[in-house]
Amino acid sequence: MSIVIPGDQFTLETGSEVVLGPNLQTSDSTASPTTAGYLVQTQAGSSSLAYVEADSKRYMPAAQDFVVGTIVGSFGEFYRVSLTNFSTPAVLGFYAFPNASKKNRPRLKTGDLVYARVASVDPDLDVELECFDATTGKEGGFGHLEGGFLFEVRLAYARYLLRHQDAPTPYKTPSNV
Amino acid sequence: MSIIVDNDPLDQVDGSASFEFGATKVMSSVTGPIESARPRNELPTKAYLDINIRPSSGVPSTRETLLEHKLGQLLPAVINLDQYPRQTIQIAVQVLKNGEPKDYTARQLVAIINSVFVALINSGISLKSSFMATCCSINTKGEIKTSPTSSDLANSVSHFVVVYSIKDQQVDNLLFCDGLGTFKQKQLFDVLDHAASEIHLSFQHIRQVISSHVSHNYIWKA
Amino acid sequence: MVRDYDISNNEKQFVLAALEQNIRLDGRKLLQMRDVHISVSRDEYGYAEVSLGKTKVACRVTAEITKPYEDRPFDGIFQISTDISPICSPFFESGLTTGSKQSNDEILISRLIEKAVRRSGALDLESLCIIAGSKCWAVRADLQFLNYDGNFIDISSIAVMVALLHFRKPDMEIDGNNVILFDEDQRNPVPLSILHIPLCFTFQFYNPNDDEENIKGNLNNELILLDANLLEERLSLGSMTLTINKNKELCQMVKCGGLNIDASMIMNCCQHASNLVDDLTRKINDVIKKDSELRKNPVEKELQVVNQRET
Repeated sequence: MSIVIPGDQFTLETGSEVVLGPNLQTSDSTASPTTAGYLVQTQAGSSSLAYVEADSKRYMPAAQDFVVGTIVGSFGEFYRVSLTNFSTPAVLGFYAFPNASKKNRPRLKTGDLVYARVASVDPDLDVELECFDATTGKEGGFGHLEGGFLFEVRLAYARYLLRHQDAPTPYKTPSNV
Repeated sequence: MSIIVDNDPLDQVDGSASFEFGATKVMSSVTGPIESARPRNELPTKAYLDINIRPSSGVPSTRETLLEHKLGQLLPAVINLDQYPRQTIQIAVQVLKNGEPKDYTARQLVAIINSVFVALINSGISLKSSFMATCCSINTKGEIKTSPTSSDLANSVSHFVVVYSIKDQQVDNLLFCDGLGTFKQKQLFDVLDHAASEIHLSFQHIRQVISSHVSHNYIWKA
Repeated sequence: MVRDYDISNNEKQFVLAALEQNIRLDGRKLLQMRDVHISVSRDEYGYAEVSLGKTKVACRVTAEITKPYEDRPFDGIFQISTDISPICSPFFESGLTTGSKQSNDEILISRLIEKAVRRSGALDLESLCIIAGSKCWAVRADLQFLNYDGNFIDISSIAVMVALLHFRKPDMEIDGNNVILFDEDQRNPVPLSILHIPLCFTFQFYNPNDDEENIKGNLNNELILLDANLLEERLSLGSMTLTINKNKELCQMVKCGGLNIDASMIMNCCQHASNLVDDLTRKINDVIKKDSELRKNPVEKELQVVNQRET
């Protein structure tokens, strides 16, 4: 894997379908990175995959990511959830919990921690979170987190922990905050 | 010209860098995309750039406002602002050492632009290309000097700040050129050539610094 | 809208539970300061960088000759600027470009520093007078806040005092109404006249049970911390700043609201601060002494450079 920076050009293989991952921009058949990181090009089935693996401190939400957020308020039928300090908060519906109904829903207070899944991301809309498993509609381990402490780590390290079962940490917590 | 770059020295901001060449030293930070503090700063289709430059001593004056304006002209050409609608990208710069006479801003502008570039890389904000700045001066004999010192500037008839984008390790487009004083057209073209070769040489070092920082962040990959 | 850090209840409870057992997250004792690191510039006068853990502040002192204030013809002018740039944290907004007002925290920090250093008479203003009513030195100290990890007040007082002690103004002679300034090569520049070194110590108060208990005054098991970091500072229920010098003179005591604290506990804080001030003052003086020894003899300095080159 090589380290690339913005402005570096590389040609994409024509003929097969190419899937572009994060941190890449294209013009015609050349691609160039938008930030500095490791360039990864792999084959995934019939299509090839290219992306730049880059580290940063500010989390940019991406759909289906598992995140830990802090409730910072509520409006209408939504909680506002802060994923990173000073970023635009995401929203979590009152009924985005398993088996939630008007009478039976979790009552979360400002400052509570929730473990959630990013449901949808659109740069023009608020980021939406959900606290249930997308395939089964069941609990899936999401929801209010009680006790313990929240550690902030760099994003590259958070991804490393999530991907490696044998990561050298005493206690593993999925954290994107 | 010896360049010293300190990568990500600050930990409360998303990306930071200090850039030192000769007697000039500047520290820059980038935070973003973050929520706009005031609704009137929200632009519906792109990110708002909040640029803030502080002098090494005294309170910010028109001189800093001018530098902020120049930086504000350059950055939209290199940042993919449209990827972050309604967000704010906050850029804060602190000049630590002037390194030039009071009436000049050339060396500081070069250090500001270069430190902001490294800070932007560290923050992970989407960039169109890499870029680098350098400065040149022309003395009374018509000789061009790249990276002039404080006394070179004081004895010059004109001086320039030149920024080029960098594509595939080669100097590519001219992004910004700011000249002050009297000069001829041919001299300006000579200055641009000198600046391009200077940037071509110096950028190797910046690239080195960025690469070693990336591999440091992925220390488990080694 | 004022931005703030979003701190979860989990973090809050964890920190408070640990404090109750006399444990801080960074392993310090409750009344222990972080290590102070001071460095001064070798090639110019009046520049100091101080760090306290991750909190980092630089201070630059400059001087120029101006006309004194009309109502104080025998005094020089001394100004401290404490604008906090967002470079140290997005928590501090840029007031100048956006035209907004400073945040309350920022104003409090500025005023505390102003009172601690300027109002306590640390700098002898009369010695800055050149010709009464027409010429005097205007000294200004510019604080540059570089990184925020709590406790800007204490570190700022250290930075300003070190920079003032490190500063040298050009020597001069008065010839009638004219002032002749001498270059560094002509005559050694002279230090400022510093009367004492006031240093700030900020204590933070917590009540792990409930703050209502304090109002009733039944149980007073508040916890007191010195030199809080970012998280501790954001969770604090009240703070108190003491400014003290090595002669054990209390120059300032500020407590803006917050928890009610027993007088006896405040006395304990004062006692503790006066124990710490000796060490810190010695540390500052050592740095200044070392620097002036290095500069003392220009020939020696040259030789040092030659030696370094040879080795």
